[in-house]
Amino acid sequence: MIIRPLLDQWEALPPLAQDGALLAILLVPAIAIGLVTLWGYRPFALVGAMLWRFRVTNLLFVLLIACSVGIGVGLIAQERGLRQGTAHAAEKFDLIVAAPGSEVTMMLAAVYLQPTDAPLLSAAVYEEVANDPRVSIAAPIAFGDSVDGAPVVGTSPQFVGYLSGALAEGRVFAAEREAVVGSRVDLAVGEHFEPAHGVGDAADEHAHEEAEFHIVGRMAPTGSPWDRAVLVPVEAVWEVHGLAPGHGPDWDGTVGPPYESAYFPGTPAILVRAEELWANYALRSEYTREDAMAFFPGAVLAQLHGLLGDVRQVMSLMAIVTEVLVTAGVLTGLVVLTRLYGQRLALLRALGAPGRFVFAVVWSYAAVLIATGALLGLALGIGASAALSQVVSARTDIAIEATLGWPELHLVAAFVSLTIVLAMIPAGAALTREVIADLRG
Amino acid sequence: MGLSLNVQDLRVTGAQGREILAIDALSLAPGGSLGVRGPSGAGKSTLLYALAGLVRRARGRILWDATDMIALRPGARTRFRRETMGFVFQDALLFEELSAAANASLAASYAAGARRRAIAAGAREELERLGVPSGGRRVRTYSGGERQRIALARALSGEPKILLADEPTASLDRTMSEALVADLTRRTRREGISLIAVSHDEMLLGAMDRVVTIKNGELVPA
Repeated sequence: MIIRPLLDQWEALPPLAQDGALLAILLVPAIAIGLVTLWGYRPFALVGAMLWRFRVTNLLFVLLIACSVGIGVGLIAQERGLRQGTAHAAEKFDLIVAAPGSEVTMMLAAVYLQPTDAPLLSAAVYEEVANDPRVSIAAPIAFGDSVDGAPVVGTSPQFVGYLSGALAEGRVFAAEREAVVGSRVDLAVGEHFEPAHGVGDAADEHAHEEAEFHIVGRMAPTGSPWDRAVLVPVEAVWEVHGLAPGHGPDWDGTVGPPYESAYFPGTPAILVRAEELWANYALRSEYTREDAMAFFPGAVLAQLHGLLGDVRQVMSLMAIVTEVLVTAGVLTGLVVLTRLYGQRLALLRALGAPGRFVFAVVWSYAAVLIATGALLGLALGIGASAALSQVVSARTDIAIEATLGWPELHLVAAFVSLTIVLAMIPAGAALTREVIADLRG
Repeated sequence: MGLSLNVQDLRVTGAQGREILAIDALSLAPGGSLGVRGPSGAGKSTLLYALAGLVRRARGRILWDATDMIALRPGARTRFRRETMGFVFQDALLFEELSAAANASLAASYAAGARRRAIAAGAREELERLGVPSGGRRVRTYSGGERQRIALARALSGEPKILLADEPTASLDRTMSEALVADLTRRTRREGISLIAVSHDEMLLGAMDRVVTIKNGELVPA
């Protein structure tokens, strides 16, 4: 009865307010315990004394906590960065029409340029798609060659313009032997190259010696593997492989559509763009049939992310369990350290210090270690994640940016609150000790 | 002015139920001083801790003026100790990482606002009066005599009515002991503080108004 309106109000809050409120709620236990424990007391000089007395052990505890928190924060930030990076890389690929088969395989080939042997779509299907009035770009693609490890992708000049937007340098290719390089390709505008047949170690450097391309432009960064690709007219790819160039004998050499069906050798996929969003759904529906399949790369990616989401939850849970276990170990260590400091704590009690003050000294000591470790872990996690992002980006060509997000802050806040509550155990244990026995050492 | 002490039928038992202290009667006038001597393990320190309300298994009556330490609830006992008692131990038991002033004003950490300031001011005065240099340096660098005087300043900073001293000169050489005994007796007499000192040190015991002897947990005639 009361919960429903509260939930409705919560749902009505903007996301930023929800995240901020959740952070505050998670920190409430820690703050409340701190206020109740420390109210009216000044234990910080003694806490500082304890921190200094066991400085090496304390540093070790802080590092242990920092590492465990850092792993949790890093995992979450990295996973989110990877998810966002892969989604961003697929943003420009609204709809793909390909021969029936695996959507995931085709997405990996067309969006992420992973080498694959895909069946070809017929000229009839291409013509049907290209002539559909709802379609503004229908770009055939062709791949299989490479330059210094960078894949050579044949496509239409319209798609290059759409993918890059304004080029960073030069212009889009207009003739069969012209090329545009991705933003991270190590070739300059004005240079010439001869593509190797194949990709990787198996590439044949001499198979296309007669085909020299001239680089006329460089794309702006897209944050996708296309940044490492060399884009050439699809006609050129067909031709150097001994196929028809997509145009008839009286072709004037202008690259790009329209292509003639009789001279269209086939394409593994058509990258389709419709001006209207609804049209994409209609196109997907129409071209999902016996001789073709149409899919949204974003939707396929979302399915993959959904599957990986379960793994993420398990990993997050494991990270939390690790953090709690490490902190439990640290708190056990604190109980031992508190015993080593028992004579001084017994002195306080002998002098008439209230039990709450002695509790406050030990609790604050633990809280400082936990909070310091957690903050350090937060920085460590983000730093490690940023470094890892660079490595993964360099290897996959997918721009991954792991930044500090609310989930990490929530994780750290929950961790701090939980462990600060647990820190009451060594603090309480200090009060149960025999004063006289501790005074005598 | 200090408080009077009146102990009646005090019995303290150990963890195994064995009686380790049996004092039928013991008294001290307000502002007086009492020395307690006896062999090691006789129960001197146990008596001192019992008088401070620190012993868990005690029966009988320990009356400081009209307040019965044994009858008090633990919280009230702690408050009574905080408000009326000062302690000096054999080992100064200082916080080594803190300065002399911070050690001497330790009680200010848990005292309320006005009293906090009074304790801090009192600690500074006591250190000055006892001739302890109270800069920012940590107490671990002080000599044994200076450390005991810091402990004495800590005990006196809260203006106690009772001072309990457990072998305060045991870890000091002769010269330092003499100086500490002089400080201890001069300050307690001037302020009228009731002083009870457990010691083997005849010089310290000689400075007390009265000395009792404990053997096997019982007072024995002098």
